[in-house]
Amino acid sequence: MIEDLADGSQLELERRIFHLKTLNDVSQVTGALRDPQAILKNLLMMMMGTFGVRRGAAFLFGTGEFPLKFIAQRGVVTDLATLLDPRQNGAGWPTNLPIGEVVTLNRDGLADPVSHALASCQLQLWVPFVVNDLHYGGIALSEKLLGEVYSPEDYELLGTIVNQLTVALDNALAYREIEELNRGLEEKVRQRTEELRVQHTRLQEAHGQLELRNRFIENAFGRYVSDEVVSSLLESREGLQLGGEKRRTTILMSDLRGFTSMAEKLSPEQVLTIVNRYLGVMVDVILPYQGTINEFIGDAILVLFGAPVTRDDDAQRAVACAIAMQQAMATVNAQNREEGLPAVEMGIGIHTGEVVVGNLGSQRRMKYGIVGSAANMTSRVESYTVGGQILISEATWTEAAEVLHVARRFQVEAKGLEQPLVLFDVRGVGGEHNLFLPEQSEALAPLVNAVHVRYSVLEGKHLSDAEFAGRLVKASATTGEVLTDHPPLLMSNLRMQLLDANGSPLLGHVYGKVLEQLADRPGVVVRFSSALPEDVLSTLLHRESASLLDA
Amino acid sequence: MNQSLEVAVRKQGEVALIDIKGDVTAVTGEHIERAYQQVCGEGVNKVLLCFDSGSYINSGGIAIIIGIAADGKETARIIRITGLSPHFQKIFSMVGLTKYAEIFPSEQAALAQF
Repeated sequence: MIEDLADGSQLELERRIFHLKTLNDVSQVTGALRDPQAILKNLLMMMMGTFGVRRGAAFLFGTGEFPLKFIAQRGVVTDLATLLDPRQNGAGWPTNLPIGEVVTLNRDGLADPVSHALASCQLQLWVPFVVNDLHYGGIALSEKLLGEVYSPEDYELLGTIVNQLTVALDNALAYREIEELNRGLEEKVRQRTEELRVQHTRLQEAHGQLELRNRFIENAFGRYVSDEVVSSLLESREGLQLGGEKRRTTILMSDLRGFTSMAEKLSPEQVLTIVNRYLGVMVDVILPYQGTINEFIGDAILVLFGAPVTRDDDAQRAVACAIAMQQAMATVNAQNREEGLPAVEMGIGIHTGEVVVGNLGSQRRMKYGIVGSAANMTSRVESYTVGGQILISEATWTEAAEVLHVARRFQVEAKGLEQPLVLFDVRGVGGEHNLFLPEQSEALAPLVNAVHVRYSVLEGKHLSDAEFAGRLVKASATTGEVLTDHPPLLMSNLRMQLLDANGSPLLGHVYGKVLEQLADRPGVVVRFSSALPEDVLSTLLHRESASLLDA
Repeated sequence: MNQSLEVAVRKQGEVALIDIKGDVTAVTGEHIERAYQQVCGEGVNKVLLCFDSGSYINSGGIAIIIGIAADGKETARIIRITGLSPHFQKIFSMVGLTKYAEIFPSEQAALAQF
């Protein structure tokens, strides 16, 4: 008996050691696992192995419509997940369960559907538990293989393991929540990164488009407009419409008077020197007035005020620019004189009107240009100028009248126009610009002996066949008074030949424009396209021999 | 416990011997279950679980063996066990495994009784 007692105690001791080892194994497992499903399964099997049990189940409910989250079962044939589904049993998690305590199932009077379901699976007891107040679970065991009754020590062990189980599940659920949050965060980061990548790509594309556009603007305009205009174009979405559009524009056209004939007497190098010097000086004058240099046509310059950028004072700025350009001719001619090159004179015509502006040409060759009668009219106005003169049309006058100083207003009968062309000879602009042309102080001196003149009228570039005779009776370096029975029309361009007593030319051809018709006798005042050299003028003024007509 | 297990199957006549070497837990024990299911599928009705003398079996591993032994009883297969250390022989007895699977001191002894 003592031996039996000793054997019994030894057995009990070994059982307790086994249980302690189990508790140690449970600690190790719960510490290592993060998956609630794996925790439930492992602890269930540990309990089944500890107590020698054939059937068992462990499960965890959450909140929500179908709250059963995890379930492990072993040796139970019935699908407990379906059996425990509250939608099947019509009830949720039972209240008033003894949390952490053993609920025996092999008896009558089971009050809750979970216990009923477990009992139907030949499970003998279960221990309900709660995890973080949001999850409810249980671990259920069948009878022991040996058929023994569960002892109080068994209950105590069950309780201890269930406590460890709930802690492990709490940690595992929190870990899952954090993982889900991280996944959600990672997904958000991924989505945001993708959004940013797409945005970046779009920005790059837009940047590329903008660069192309800017390059186009700079190429199209950069050398012909001021930096301010370029900036305005680049900054404004509406400021530049590269398609065609009608726009009210003030157009300035300048031209070196008589340069064509002068160029015939110069070498190509000299011609280029003079033209490039003149153009270079004029560009530096034009840009500060925000004029758009549309074109160089030989020694002519076409400047737009109002395209591609419109301003309220386009007409005023155009006139001011013209005056500044005339003033700058002194610089051009000073440099010419230094190099032994002839002085040149410039005429400027200005007109305001509607033109179509836009890209002219084709894809292969395109430029920003203007089309319209206003451009032609500007050219016509300019054609009436003499060197050093600025003529504006009535349309420009209307836009800027309040600040303009005008020497005279006159009309010309222009070919192809129904109404006479009204022109204004501008001498200055007041207001913020306050610029004036130098006073013309050259007086006409009478010739000792009049010089015979033969002249033809130029119609455009074409010389009319008719030749007329006249006498040059007064002259200055730039102007002459010619008496003739057939006074040419105002603003007519003449090609004249001054003749000696024998009828031979005294000089080469002299070109000029009729500025005035004499009021008191038949004749005209002619402005020479090129100033007469001093010696020539002196000879004309003081020559003793009479012309053929005086004979 | 290093959580490693080697499982191998061999036949001797009608008996399938499942050699088990290492630590038997709820996780590693699944290899033993698979080997058992494999031999059952081959129509074997006599199975000898041969544990290595150094094998360690925790409570989860015991549940695996309980499952195999109980299945054997339910399917009229003879399940026998050999190679256990005296300590584990006591544990197996304590949990009632010996009701379903007899433990033999040696392989030869177990085979002789099939």
